[in-house]
Amino acid sequence: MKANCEQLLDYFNGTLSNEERERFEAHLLSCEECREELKELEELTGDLPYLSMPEEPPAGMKERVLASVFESDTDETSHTTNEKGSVEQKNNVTNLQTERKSRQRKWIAPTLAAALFLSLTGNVYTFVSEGDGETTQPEEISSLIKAVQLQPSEAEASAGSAALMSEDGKMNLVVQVNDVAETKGDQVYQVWLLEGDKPYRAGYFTPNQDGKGEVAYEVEYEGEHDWDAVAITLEPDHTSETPKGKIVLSSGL
Amino acid sequence: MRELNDAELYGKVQAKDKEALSSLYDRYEKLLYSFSYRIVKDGGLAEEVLQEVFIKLWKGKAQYSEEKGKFSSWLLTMTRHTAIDLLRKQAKEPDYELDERDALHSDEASVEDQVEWKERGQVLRTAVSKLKGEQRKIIEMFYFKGMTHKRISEEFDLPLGTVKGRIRLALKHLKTSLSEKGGVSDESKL
Ligand SMILES: [Zn+2]
Repeated sequence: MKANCEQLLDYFNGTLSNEERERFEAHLLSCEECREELKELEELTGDLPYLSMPEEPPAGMKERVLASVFESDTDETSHTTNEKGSVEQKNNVTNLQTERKSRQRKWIAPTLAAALFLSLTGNVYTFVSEGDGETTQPEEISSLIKAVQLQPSEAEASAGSAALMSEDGKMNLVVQVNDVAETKGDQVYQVWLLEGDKPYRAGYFTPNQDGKGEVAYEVEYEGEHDWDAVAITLEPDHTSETPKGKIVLSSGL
Repeated sequence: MRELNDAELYGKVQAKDKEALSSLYDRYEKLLYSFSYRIVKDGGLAEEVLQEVFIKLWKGKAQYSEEKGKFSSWLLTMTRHTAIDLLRKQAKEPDYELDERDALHSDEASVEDQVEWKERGQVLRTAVSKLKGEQRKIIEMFYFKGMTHKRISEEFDLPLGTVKGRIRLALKHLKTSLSEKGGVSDESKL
C-alpha cells in the first residue's frame, strides 16, 4: 500500500512506465488519500503553465506540424514496430534547431547558492561565476548593491556570504552559509541587519544535514536605512525580536 | 455562426476533421509552444513537443472526456508530460537552472494579445518572487523538469517520505501568495 502511495508524484509527472501507471491507476480506485492528493496537486499547479513567458513560434511551424500529423496516418501501416509511434516523426524536426539560442538564457549554476543568486538576479551572474564565456544579461532586472564574506566568530569552522540586491525598487538580502552546526528542536539561525547597534530581523533558516543553509529575504523596513552590518545568530526559535544567542557569522556592510 | 468550443472541436478531431484540428491548433499554438519552451528551453524541441501532442490528438492516443475537467487543462497536462518525456530522452542531466524570468516584474517580454495570460503571468511572477529560493527550485525541478520523486530526494537531500510534503508546502505558499494578490487565479476558471 505504502509503496503505491509513494508513486503519486511520478504518476502526476507521467514518468511511470506503462505497467506502473496502470497499477497506480488501479491503486487510485481504492486509495482515497491518493485521489485527494492528486486532485490537490492538480489544483495547486493549474496556473503554472501561465508562468511561461509568451514565446513567438518559429515561422512555418503550423504547416510543418500539421503536415507531419496528417502524414502520421499514412505512416501507420509501415511503422507498426515503433514503440511509441513517434520515432519516425523525429526526422522532420531534427534540422529545426533554430537560432533561438540567443533568446534563451541558460546557465548551469555550479552550486545551490549560485542557483539562488541566479534566481534573484540577472546580472549578478558574472559575480558568482565569472569568465566562462557567458555575457552579462542584456536587461538588468536587479543589481548587486553589496556582497560580503561572512566571518565566523571564535574558532568556528563555518563560512558564508551575504549579498544585498536591489530588484525592481525592492531590496533583497541573500545569505548562504556552509558548515554551521545543526539546530536542535525549534532552533533556527536568524539573520540580522544592523543599523548602528539596532538589529532588524532579516530572515532565518535551518541548515541541512551537510551544514549548508540559505535564505533570501525581502528587506521592507520603512524609511531610509543605512545598514552597517549583517550578522547571524543561533536563536531558540524563529520569533526572536532581538538576538538572544551568540553571533555565529557576521560582516560589516 | 457560433464558434465551436474546445470539446466540440475535439469531437470533430476524433472524427478526423482536419479543419477542426487546424482550429484547435490555432487556438493553442502559442500557449502550448510557450509552455513547452519553458520546459525544454529549446525552440526545436518545443516544436517537436507540439508535433507529438497533435499526433496524439489526431490519432486518439490521448483520450479526452469531459469528466477529466477542462479541455485546456487536460491539453496542458498532456503537453507537459510530452515535454518532460522528450527532456528525459535527451538524457540531459537535470541542472540547477532556474528561470529567472519567473520572478521578473517587468512586462517586457509579454506585450501580447493574450491579456488574461499576461495578467495571470504577472501575478504569478510576483508570487514566485516571494518564494524562498529552495521552494522555487523544488517547484522548478518537480513541475517543469518532471524530476522523479527519488531524484528530488537526492537532489534536495530529503528523505523520500518528506519530498511530497515539501512540494505541497512550496505550492501552497505560492497559492497563498497568489490569493493575497486578490486572486486572478480563480480555480473554477482554469
Ligand atoms: Zn495511495
